[in-house]
Amino acid sequence: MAISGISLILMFPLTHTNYAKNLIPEAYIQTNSILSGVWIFSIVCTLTFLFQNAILARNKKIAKSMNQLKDTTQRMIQSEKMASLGMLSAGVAHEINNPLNFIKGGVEILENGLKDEKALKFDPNTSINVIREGLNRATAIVSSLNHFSRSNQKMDEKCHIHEILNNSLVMLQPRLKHKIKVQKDFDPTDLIVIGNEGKLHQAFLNIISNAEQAIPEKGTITVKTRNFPDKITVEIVDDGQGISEENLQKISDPFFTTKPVGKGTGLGLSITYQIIEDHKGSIEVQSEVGKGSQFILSFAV
Amino acid sequence: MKTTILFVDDEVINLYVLEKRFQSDYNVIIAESAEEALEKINETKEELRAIISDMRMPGMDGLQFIEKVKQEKPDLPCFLLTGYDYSPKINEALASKTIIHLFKKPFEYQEIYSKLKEVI
Repeated sequence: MAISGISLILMFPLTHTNYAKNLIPEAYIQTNSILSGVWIFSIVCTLTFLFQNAILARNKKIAKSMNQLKDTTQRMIQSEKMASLGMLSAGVAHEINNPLNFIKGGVEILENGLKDEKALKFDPNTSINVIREGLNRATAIVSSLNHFSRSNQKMDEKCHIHEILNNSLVMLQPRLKHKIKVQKDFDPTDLIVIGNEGKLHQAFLNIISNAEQAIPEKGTITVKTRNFPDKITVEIVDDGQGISEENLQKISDPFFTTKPVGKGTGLGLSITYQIIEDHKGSIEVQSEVGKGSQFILSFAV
Repeated sequence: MKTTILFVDDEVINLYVLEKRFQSDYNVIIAESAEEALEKINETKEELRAIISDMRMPGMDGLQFIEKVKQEKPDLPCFLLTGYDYSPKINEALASKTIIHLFKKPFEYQEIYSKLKEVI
């Protein structure tokens, strides 16, 4: 405050040259016009120097605040991710238990078959396939979790959009199956966005998770990707309850939620907007109450 | 003559493993959903001695299915399989003896085997 006060006072003589001249006696100016010019020049120099110093000091303060803000945002993104991981973990545990069961069962059949020759009537290859299926499924779940929980801040990773969408769908599988028909309409080319893979997982997962929660009973979620000369688009469409016009304006606000306590933090979409923005992308939302919502993400390439 | 038991699970591979594991000792009927299981119960001529059903399935869930069967066969021993769902409904069903036991995935096949031996 003190600095800004002084700088305001100092600014006057710069803009009102008459006032600056008043600093030097009238008679002195008339008799020593060259010297008075030097006087005015040196006053202006001193004022500029003081003024610049004040600006530099303030810029430093702003930069420090900006860094703090960035830090806080990163921490908020990480916390939100951990919160949704917590909500996902029960479902993921269930999803891993099924393939573990396959593996256990396959091993038991093989063991029994080896113990009792008569039991070898069945084809051991099928048991091996059962075990392999179990291993593949468990591996897929763990690897999608791994991608999601990665917490580096790098922004130069090659992010394969289709892989990230598939991983997000695997992680949400416990909530989607029996309820949602997922329609994938992927562009045939491998779509790549440069950025942070973990964060893009978080963003896509948030939108698909919202789509699932918007569908009360049974419904369809369509995930569509397209490759344009200047951009890559990802569309996530649901036929759920939709968002009212009033709420549509608030969906990117932090802590805005229409979900009951425990179901949503109100941070998911605001963080998703932030993540997409960090990837030079934009989000367009269209929604109609009772019909569903459409989230179109565009990434500049 | 082998006794007849019924496995219900929407996970086909689980059904396959259960069938293979138990077919040497039991006449195993399998169904991929509660609805299919109800049909098979009506069709089968053998006397059904036990039911082992998964909890989470499309359509009717395991508990609803068992409750429905019990309306006609109140004494039939029923077991539930579950991956993670420990809802109060399941505890109530255990307390009221609607289900005899809850097997948690990944389960020990030996455990199912010995529990079955206890009731049949």
